[in-house]
Amino acid sequence: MSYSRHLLPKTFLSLAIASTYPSMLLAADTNQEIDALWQTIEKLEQKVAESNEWKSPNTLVHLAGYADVNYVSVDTDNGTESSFSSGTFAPIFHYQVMDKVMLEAELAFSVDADGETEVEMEYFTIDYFLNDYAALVMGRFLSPLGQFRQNLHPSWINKLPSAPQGFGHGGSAPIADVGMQVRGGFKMGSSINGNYAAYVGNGVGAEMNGDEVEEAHSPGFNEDVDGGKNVGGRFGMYLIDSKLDLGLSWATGKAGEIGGDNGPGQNGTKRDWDFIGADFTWHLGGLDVRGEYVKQTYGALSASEEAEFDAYYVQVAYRFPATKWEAVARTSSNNTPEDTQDRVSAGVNYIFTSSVIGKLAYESNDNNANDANDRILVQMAYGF
Amino acid sequence: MKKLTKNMIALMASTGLLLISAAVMADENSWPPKGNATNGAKAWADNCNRCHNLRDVKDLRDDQWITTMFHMRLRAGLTGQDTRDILSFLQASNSATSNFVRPGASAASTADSGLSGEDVYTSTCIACHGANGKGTVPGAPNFTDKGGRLSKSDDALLKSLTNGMQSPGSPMAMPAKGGNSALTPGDLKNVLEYMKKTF
Repeated sequence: MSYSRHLLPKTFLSLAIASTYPSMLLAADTNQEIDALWQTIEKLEQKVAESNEWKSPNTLVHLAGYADVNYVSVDTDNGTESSFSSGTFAPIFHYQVMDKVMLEAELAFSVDADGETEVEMEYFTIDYFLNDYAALVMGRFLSPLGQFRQNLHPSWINKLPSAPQGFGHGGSAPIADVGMQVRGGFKMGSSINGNYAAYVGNGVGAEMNGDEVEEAHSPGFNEDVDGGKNVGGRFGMYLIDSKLDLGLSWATGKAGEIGGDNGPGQNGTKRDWDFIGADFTWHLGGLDVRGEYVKQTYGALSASEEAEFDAYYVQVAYRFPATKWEAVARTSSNNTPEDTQDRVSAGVNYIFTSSVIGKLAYESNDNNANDANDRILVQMAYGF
Repeated sequence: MKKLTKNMIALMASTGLLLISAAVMADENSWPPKGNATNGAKAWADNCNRCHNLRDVKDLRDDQWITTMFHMRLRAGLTGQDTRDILSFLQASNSATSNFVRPGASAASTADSGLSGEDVYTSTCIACHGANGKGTVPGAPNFTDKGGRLSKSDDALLKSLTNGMQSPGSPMAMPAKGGNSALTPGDLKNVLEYMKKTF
């Protein structure tokens, strides 16, 4: 009885020990797995913290820009002359403080015919993002008038190796200004995006030859030579469904005379200055059509006539489906008081990547006042 | 018992990793605020080839896209919201983890999210491929071509949809899941059926 009395508890105890022993072994395994997992988590935490240091700072630094190398063959009266050239290397520096402030600066390095390196400050601005629809841009900026200068001139974007007549340096389209502008975008319903830029700046100058205006001059003066600020801007509408971009530009102010009989800025005279412009872009599949017209008017003085400068271009490009080939043609003209410069260009591009483009183009040039030479241009452009 | 313990450990570990991920996401998204990647896909296709060729999303890292997009906001006259939407699309398309599928994933994890194929197409694919399937950007294939892209096997097409693909002659690749990393394998299957039926 006594034996039987202790049999049940002993049996339960034995069963309990027998059942607990594997669990103890399992617990030991589990503890090791937990330790291993915690070690893994700690390592991951460390890696996340390290990567987060550079992934999420309050400031960002970024280098963008473009560069190109060129070959040109020119038909002259003395035969064909050809040259290689290193083109332009134009780094764009971006320094951003969160989503509030951005500093942008583009330098353009090039080598002249004598082998000397030239550097130009294309633009340098500090931008403050006011809200979702407006940003304040201060400094030296690409002229917001028209499209080519502010958006299309980088060689990896420009579909031909050269600029349209009148839209390069010294042309009829303003290049840059120094001052401040407000620019941004907004919605006009669900299918139209509006965009705008309004600026006030030191303005343009009138490059004089004797008493007459010889050249429109807008390099972005770092001082206001005429003492009167210019104001202007561009209003654009993008019709999303039809892929049609339309823009109108306007500006007015004073233009100080530069050069001439009395030397740069010495005669103290200034002229009324007015600008109007219109531009469009249209896409349909691989078809890209765009054009632009600009006109600057320098007012008359008692001893000098009014001077008008106007220029236009129309460009058609077509990307062949399922290939990396693109054909492009453009006609452009620049009209000054002394000359009319016409250019017809046709070319073919090979798109290595979306920002590395090889271009081959033929240009027919015609000037009223000067000899103009036809050219074959080859360019490799790189956007980064 | 052992299985239960392992599941608990796995749950704890997953929770920990999720918390870490959430912390990282919160830091990463503290600025700029996260946009809508689906709207961004359309805004990207609508706006970014107005002036230049569409850049491949793999051209830049996520942080480089931030600065690039703020630069482009000024250049293209984008609104802040469009900028954030496009940025979110580019960063989602750039994600190397969006294609990750856990080995042995359950059927539930591959189920669709309730979106019809048409829903997926009109929210994600339409930006580049167009309502008519003929493509709106250079390099996008014409789905209506007989013997064209949609004539490939479902397996091959699903693989392309899942992982992204580079069309011959196109300067840019289609991002994985069209840039919408939220799409499930079921969603991709639905949209493939929709495209084959419609085009």
